[in-house]
Amino acid sequence: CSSTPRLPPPDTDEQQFIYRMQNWSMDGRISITQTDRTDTARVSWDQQQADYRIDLTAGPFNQTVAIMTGRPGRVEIQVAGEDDRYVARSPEALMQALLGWNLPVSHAVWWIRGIPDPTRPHQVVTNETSFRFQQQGWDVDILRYQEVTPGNRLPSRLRMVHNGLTVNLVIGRWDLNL
Amino acid sequence: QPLDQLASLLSGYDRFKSDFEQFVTNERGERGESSTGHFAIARPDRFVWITETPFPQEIISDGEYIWIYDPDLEQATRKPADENTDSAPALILNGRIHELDRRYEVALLQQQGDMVVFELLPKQSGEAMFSRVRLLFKDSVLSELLLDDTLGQRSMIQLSNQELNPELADELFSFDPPDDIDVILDASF
Repeated sequence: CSSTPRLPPPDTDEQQFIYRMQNWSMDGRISITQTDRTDTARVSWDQQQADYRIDLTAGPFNQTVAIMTGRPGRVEIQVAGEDDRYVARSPEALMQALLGWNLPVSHAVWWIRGIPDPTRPHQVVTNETSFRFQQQGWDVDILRYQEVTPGNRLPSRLRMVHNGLTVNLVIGRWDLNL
Repeated sequence: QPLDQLASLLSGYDRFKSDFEQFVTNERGERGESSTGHFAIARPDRFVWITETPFPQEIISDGEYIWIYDPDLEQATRKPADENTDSAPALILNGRIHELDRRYEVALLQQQGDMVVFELLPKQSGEAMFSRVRLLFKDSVLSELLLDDTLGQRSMIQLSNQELNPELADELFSFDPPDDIDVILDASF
């Protein structure tokens, strides 16, 4: 039920709706493509105010690849096949070391909802078919939306590119605990 | 000896087909979305695993390569086959008893009438992707797999409409990507 994208950017009401989202979760599929390698996984992102938990599972048997739990200033990552937990101040470096790719979670928490991180500058890249912007060295392209409540839409498909890394995210389900 | 009993249940057929419903719960017991689909195996190393809900995905292996096709992501990735053939479920479904014996301790948990339950525990912890696997057979046919992974997630796969040695066309195990999607030939593991 993904609706065709209305002309970007989301208007102020939609942005207000997104700012008011406090407790929400999302289920989707992610593909991570780098020069020599591509991985796909199932991703579920659960956000409670500033606390997040991101589960990555893969394979026919939905094996857990990694679990990331954190909030601004602290992240903990558990990786399949290893008992210990890794802790860091921010996810990027730890993800890169453990998973071989990274996503700036503190910014992506806005991007996956279709808007730039309001606390950082961004440039809109004008085109008709999608809402695209650049922020923190990432090129974010919101390709498709789905209506979540009357008059409010969230992405159902987006692409995030940074240097040689392309992250495609298809979002099946938004749960907004309204 | 449980290993021999498991071996006899897992041998005696070269092809296997089944529908599945899979339930996943995390370490806090919260249930994630269940998924449904079907799979087919042609030993020694060809298989196809089609997930239909909640989103479509096809995993197809001709023994040499594994294709992972995600229609939603409009993407198909081809990888060398030997990357995932040593996971417990692959060893079980392919009936590779010797490999299973090398990696897992097999115990008989329960035997009642036509139902038999085995438990597989990894011989070296840390290396295996699953901390525990349970297999339930009814009337000597695999009916349920319970997989606990090392991060506390449990995946329960219930089989239905199982068929031993069904007719399986070769085309089932080959995949030619639709032309409007990204095809990624991934040489690495």
